[in-house]
Amino acid sequence: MKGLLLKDLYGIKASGKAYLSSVLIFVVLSFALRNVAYMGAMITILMGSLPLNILTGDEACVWARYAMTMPVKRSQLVTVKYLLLCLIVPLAIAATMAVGAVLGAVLHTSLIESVIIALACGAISLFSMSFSLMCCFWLGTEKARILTAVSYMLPMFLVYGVYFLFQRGEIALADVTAEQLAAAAVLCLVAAAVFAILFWRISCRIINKRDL
Amino acid sequence: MKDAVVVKDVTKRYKGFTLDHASFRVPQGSIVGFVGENGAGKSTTIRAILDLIRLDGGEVEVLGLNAQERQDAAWRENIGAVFDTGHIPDYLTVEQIDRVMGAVYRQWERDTFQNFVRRFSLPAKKKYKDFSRGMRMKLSLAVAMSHGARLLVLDEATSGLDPIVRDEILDLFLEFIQEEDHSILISTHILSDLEKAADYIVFIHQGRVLFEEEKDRLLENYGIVHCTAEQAERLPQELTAGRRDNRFGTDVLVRDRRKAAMQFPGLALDPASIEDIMLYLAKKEGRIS
Repeated sequence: MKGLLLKDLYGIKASGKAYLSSVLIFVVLSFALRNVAYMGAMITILMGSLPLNILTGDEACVWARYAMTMPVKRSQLVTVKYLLLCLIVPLAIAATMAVGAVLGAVLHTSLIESVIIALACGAISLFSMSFSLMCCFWLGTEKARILTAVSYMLPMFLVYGVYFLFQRGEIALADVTAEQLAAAAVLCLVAAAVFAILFWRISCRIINKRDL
Repeated sequence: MKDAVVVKDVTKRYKGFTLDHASFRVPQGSIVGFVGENGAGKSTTIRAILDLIRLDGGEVEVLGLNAQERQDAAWRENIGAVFDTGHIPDYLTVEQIDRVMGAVYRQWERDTFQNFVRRFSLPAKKKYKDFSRGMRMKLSLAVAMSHGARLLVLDEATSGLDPIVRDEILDLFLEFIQEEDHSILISTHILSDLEKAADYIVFIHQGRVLFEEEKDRLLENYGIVHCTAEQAERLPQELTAGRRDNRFGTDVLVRDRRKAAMQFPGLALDPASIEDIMLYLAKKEGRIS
């Protein structure tokens, strides 16, 4: 497992410069647009997609077949990708909070707004990426592309759905306090973590039955 | 003699191809050449041996362990596998591969690996994607042979390599096999490599193992009789293994060229190479009894 994780970390290191440049571009864009949410979403999506990109590379070189000639369990091939996701999402949340705090100081927005955005984006990223990983283990990265796109749509539709319900119920968003929103964001993160565990379990089952 | 690998009635069905009750052995301390045309079932069989696919029938025993006993992944410490395309991620360097494998294998021998790296002149900091095919194969072999493996399984590992690199690699195999509990199963369609290194030949054609035989016995016994179509008809069925008609006459592959020479002293007879044997048998599309 340690070896597999090390291999993936080298993969992240190899694409690190490109990712860092992209993040910097989005930070600059956020300043220009005076929009913390935009930056938060882009950082978490970008960072969250790292395990998926590593998996795409693995599939291209048929790494799984080679790895399975080593003293490694099939389930470990799956677990390492979810583990990576679990390491990256908190980092993405922290990065979003940090940049959001700087941005907030400049744009005079509240810190709690950055925290809420970071947690919500982290939850979306964790849900979407763990779902995408499961789809990739199930169908292969090529065929799973549409489902990967759908995985980002689902939380967005959910957010719009909630917003729509608020409107129908004539509950003004202004009535919701920042603390309540922060609590909701934490709950979303917990729910995403529960889904991630479920998707991980399903992925393990998929790979155990698959020919390599 | 103990067997490093026993493949018994292994069956795997795919759409359009069936590996059909394949059976053969890899005796301990030997190099077994696994030959057959593209799509004959070599890679499928190798994947079955490495537990990479689920079988529709039959069983495989590797290093004395049956499928149940191989549930624990630790047994794979004792095998080294090399595939035709390497399967190593492009972004890894030799140094990084050393560290990754050091964390994967409990028995990783860093000194042995570094010796191979020096011997093969592999650049430590160059990424795998920038390696030539020969370098990639050498690196895969270095990994396979640096963790105390007792069995090497090589799937088309020498394909696409120039003769000099192939020769180097074959020498390496011969070194590896010096240990009496070491064994190699190598699938290839470069038959000259097997004539140099293999002890046994297993020939697979259209998903069926047509024969497994000692290489020396094959080369010693099989022969090609050059005759007319009428003379070919007179050759006993149990002696003939294949036949090719051409405009100059008929060539017949015989299983025992000495017997053929004694029974038909007037006929021109040449020894058969492994390639000849493979081609005649593949053309016949039948099993030799």
